Amino acid sequence: MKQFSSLHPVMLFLYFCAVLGVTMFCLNPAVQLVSLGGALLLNAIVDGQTKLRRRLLPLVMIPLGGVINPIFSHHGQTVLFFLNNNPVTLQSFYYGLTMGGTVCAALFWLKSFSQLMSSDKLLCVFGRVSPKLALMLSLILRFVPLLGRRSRDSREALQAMGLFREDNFFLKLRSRVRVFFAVAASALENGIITADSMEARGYSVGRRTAYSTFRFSWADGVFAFVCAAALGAALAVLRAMRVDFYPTVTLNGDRSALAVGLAAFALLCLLPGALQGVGGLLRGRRLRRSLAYRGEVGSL
Amino acid sequence: MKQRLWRILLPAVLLPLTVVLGAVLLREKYYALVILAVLLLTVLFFYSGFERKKVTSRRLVVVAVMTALAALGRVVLTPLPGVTPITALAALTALSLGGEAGFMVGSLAALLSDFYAGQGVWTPFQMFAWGLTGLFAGLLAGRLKQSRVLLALYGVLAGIFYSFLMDLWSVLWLNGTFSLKLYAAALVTSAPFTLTYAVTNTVLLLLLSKPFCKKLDRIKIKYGL
Repeated sequence: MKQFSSLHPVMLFLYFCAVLGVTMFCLNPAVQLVSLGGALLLNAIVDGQTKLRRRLLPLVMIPLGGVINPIFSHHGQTVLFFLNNNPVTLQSFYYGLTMGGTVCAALFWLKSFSQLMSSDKLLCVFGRVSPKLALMLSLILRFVPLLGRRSRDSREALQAMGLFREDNFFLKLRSRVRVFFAVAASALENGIITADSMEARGYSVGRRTAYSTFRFSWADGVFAFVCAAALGAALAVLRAMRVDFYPTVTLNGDRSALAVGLAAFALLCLLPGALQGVGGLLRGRRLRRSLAYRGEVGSL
Repeated sequence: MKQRLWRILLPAVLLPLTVVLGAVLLREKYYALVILAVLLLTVLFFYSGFERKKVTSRRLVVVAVMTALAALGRVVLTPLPGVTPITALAALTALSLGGEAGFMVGSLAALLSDFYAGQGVWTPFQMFAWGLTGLFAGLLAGRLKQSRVLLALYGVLAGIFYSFLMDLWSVLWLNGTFSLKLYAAALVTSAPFTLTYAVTNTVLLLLLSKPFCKKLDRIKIKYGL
């Protein structure tokens, strides 16, 4: 069994697009809650380092939405009180909470997306669509650390010559700018050498393709199938699942459609957390067993 | 010629079509979805044009270096909120290498530096906004190269443009629909940022334009880009 993070990058990318799409464009507090639950589960398993309080910061968006929306939107039937002669309504409060929930859930999903989709995975996704763009991206991804190293070298050289001074703000700025120019000039010149070497190895000969080490496995196929089924079921009743907030909070379709859609969406949302958690446990157990077998761990 | 016609026709038809379909099919006012789709299409059209064109390796690498400098600059300057060199570097690239190169620098620098600053639904918006500031600089290159006053003015306008566009996105994302009052409130709350963008752009453009144009033009002449 594969962990969620080791699935094929294209699958990961499509998965996040699908979940974000449904979360952002199907306004219904239940949908947002389910999405938030799935995102939090995945986040709890994937993101072990960040402090809990910092990790839960996006939750602020929910009450924030609840406060901001009634100030600016005065639709809705149930008037709670008047603020500056403008009605503050219960419905716009609910709408604000739901929108806050959408943003909050999206932020959690995007956090996991950032952590799971490293630049090599994104390169694999882009490489399929546009090999030249992938080449460009990989060039830049190499240049960023290289330029960082160059600027350290150049700074040390300038320091040795007594030209890099940090006595006051102005000198500091001037020294930094000097380093920046030196690095930029040398990088542009060296870039030409890189380009010539690319040309010599046949850059412009034939059609470009992108190479990636990721392989599509049966686990990806199964994952794709389950997700497509769940997403299809959710999309089929998406319109019925929506909630209208004004003038009163009403469900667009009937309750049975909502139940079906929610069940399908819950499966979609909880899948990554479950896969990551169970896959991680199995992997841990396998590793421990092989260590115990080799006698490297005494008692387990 | 035929391919060229397609490249103009396809966006000219598809983009309005997206807007109209979005307005008709989605009865609820999901502006955010429509705008996101339009932005993604625009960026995609740009990249597909780049993919098809014969780009010499030298030009490709020079654009990559400028992008890396811009992305690195944004990452290094994160302690100062609102201060980024992406607009300035995209515009300067556009001044000597043309608008398309400027668009690539702005949009790719946004994409890559967001690996550090956090990827999100805002990434396409940033790619679009910074890409466009590069593209426009390329279109106005003749004027901007001659007058430093105009260059400074461009920096200010680019900062305001970026800030206003990102606020538009914040309103759409937080509210679901567009609300003029909320937009005005967002513009007021982000005014310090708008100011920072404008000042940073202007200072960097004035500071960097001469040396960078010299470097880029020198390379252009020396190696024949």
